[in-house]
Amino acid sequence: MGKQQSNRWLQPRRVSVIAMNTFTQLVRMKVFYFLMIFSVIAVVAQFLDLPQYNGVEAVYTGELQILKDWCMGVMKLFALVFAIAATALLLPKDVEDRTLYTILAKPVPRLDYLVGKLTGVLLLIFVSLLLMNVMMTVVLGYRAGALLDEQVQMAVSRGWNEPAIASMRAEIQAQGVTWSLQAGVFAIFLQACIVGAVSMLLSTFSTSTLFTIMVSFMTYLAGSFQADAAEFYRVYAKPGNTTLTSVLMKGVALIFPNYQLFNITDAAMQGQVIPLAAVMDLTGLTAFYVVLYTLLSWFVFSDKEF
Amino acid sequence: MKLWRNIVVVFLVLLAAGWVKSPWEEGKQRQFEQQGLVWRPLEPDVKKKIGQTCAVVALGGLRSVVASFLNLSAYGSFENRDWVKLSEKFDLIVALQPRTTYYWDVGAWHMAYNAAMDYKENESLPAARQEALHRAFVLRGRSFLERGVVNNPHEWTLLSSLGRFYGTPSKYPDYAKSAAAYERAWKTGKARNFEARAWLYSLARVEGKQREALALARQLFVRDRNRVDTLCCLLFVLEWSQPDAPPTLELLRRCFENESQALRMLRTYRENNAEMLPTAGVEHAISLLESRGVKP
Amino acid sequence: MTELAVDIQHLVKDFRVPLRGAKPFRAVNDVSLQIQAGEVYGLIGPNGSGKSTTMKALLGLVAPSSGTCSIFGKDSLKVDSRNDVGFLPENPYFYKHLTGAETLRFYGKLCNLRGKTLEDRVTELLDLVGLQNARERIGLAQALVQDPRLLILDEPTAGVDPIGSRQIRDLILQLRDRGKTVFLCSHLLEQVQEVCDHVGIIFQGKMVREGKLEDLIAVENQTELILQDASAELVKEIQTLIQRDGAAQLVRSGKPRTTLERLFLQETQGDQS
Repeated sequence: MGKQQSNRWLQPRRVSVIAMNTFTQLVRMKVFYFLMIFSVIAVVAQFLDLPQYNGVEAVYTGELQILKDWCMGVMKLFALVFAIAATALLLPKDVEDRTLYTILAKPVPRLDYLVGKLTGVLLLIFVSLLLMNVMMTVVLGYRAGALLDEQVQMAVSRGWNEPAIASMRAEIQAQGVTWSLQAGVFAIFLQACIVGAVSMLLSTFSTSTLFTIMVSFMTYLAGSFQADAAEFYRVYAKPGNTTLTSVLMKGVALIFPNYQLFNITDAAMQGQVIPLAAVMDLTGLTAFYVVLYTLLSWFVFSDKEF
Repeated sequence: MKLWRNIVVVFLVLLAAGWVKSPWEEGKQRQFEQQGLVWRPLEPDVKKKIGQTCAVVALGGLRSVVASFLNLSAYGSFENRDWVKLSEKFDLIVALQPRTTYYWDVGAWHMAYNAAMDYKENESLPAARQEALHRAFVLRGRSFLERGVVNNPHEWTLLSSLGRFYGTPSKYPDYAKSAAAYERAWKTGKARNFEARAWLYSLARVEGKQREALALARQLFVRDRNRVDTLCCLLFVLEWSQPDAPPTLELLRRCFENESQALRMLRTYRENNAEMLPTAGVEHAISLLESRGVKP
Repeated sequence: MTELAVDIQHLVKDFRVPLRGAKPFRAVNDVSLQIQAGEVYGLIGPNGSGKSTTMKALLGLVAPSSGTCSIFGKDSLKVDSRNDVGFLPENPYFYKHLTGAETLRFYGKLCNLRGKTLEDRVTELLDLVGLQNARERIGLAQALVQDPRLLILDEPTAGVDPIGSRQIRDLILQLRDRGKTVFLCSHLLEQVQEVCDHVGIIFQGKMVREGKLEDLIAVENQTELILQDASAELVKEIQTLIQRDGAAQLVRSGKPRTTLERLFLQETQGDQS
């Protein structure tokens, strides 16, 4: 036996072994084929003509917005679907295949097992988003550069002065590759972390992968609605006027995470500057939820029998 | 039994954790909304708002992908000249992505220009119907763009488009609104000099605003790069229209580099006035210059 | 006194039956067994008798309804008890995405093996179980990866070809000779008979017989004399002596044998009648 180890929880090496095994398992499930398809689409889209309604002056930064809409939207869809499906699949698969028995028969605390599994999924999402982000950045940078050259040429031909050209340049660059856009991609990843943790919690209750996927998706919808529920309760629920609806809205507001906060991705796509403080806030919130859901998963999983 | 116990415990813990995090989260939601980092729908009709809100938030982060697809699909409706469907699609696109100015611009353009003209030239329709549909879609396009401006109050491009929509003579113009839109565009600080001049051109066509227009024209004229043909001619017209205007020749020397240039520009201004800008004094000035033997 | 590798005391395990009003199903009913370090213990019984549940309770995969299980003195419900255990489940299945060597490395890392130690161990095990990626052999190899003091094998030869079964049985004996403790369950009685020192018979959740194999398969009220090169006259003389005794009876002469299988059938049919 190797160095006699203490079997305290969350031993980093043990967690990383399970995480890397999960990562390898998912990669060898051919998930990266999706990435290749996306990459091809991103590159091909570069050379496709968008439906052109007007001349270059009218479209302006519109084409950059469309490109970002598409790429970021696909990234978000991928992260969401993968976070739900991969996490929902892993636990039942291990139970069904009895690989779980051989793992838990080793000195592996159940918490380490759960954290390792979740980490593996999130690691894969991170790497995938990183690759897709690189593709998008390359294509966007190229198109923004081409647009800028086009517009500067037009401006010079019309006798614009330097400050006007500089202002236009700043405007186009704001729609191109920016740190805020990276913050938007990071927000996609953070949201996927929470979605994955929720999916893992649900999979500790359920033995059916399909059930877990469906309920995870429904909790995602509820989380997207959470801010409106909270607002509804704040506006309409008054003492003496507490209806069933308002109580339900409050319940939704309390139980589900507010996924709308992560829609700073949309602001990033519009070229808005995302303050670092906002990114830190979202990171802290994500950490809160992931820890909460992981601990709850452990609570359920710790006395589960196989 | 154990399963239900676990469900209850998890539910209670989530509620408790929710109680703890809720104030902070709601505070962040309001802060992010104020900073414009997250968006809330602005539809005034509450019932419609709830319906659309549910649909829109339900799509969550998939909004941008769906909007992209709808945009491509809308191009198909454009090619098929299915204007009603196209309008519906753009309504949905902008509900999904209200901050993407491109969609507002293009949608409004389709309605107020393409759809309107198609109906106007549709010989299968009675003349009265042609006109009615033409007008309906022009107004529909304009109100679509107005909503775009409400959603994006600091976007000079949309304001400029709105100014253009209101200022087009063949599109039931409202020059006062056109001027107001261009003025807002200019005052965002990000617009081109063109928006300032367009503001002037619209203002000059508003009844009773000639003094304001003149002040603006003089202000713009100071900068060399604003001295385009139209502005020079319009400045001359506005100056000439004043009751205490100096003699014509003096005005011509102030507004133009030389008499030859004046003649050339004024002749072009007179002959190409599709914008229907004021022309007071133009004919008189041309006659004067020609009588002096000036060559353009 | 030799250290106790496994100590199960009055183990009871009830499972809830998902039917309205149904009483819980008692899978293990007051089972106690002890396994000394260095011996091979066989737990035999038909499918559904509680063998696997007993093993899972020992491994902490199920929690006892009452009673205790410990491995080398450590409570089975604690993770520490599994430092010394290697487990081979019935019909094991390992991650398809890993090769045999990768599988062993994975389990080795979980047991804190690393670097050269791990690589050497993997190579050694691949040789030891003579494998070519066969599922059962990988199963055995991963159970051995951290060189545990106790091996728990659930139906180790089920679904294995005869030659493979023979190899596994030889391996078990080798491990015993090296001082390992082996706890196996099987319904293949002949194979258990060949390797076990101690045997427990479990039926409908209860331990019905337990003891040294030799003692168990001895027929109690009978005495066996195995003579080599005995002449016919000698045999006749012995028979006469028996007749003279009056109490004793000669049951049979010839080539005596009994089998565990017969004993098993005796015990279970006796209980059902």
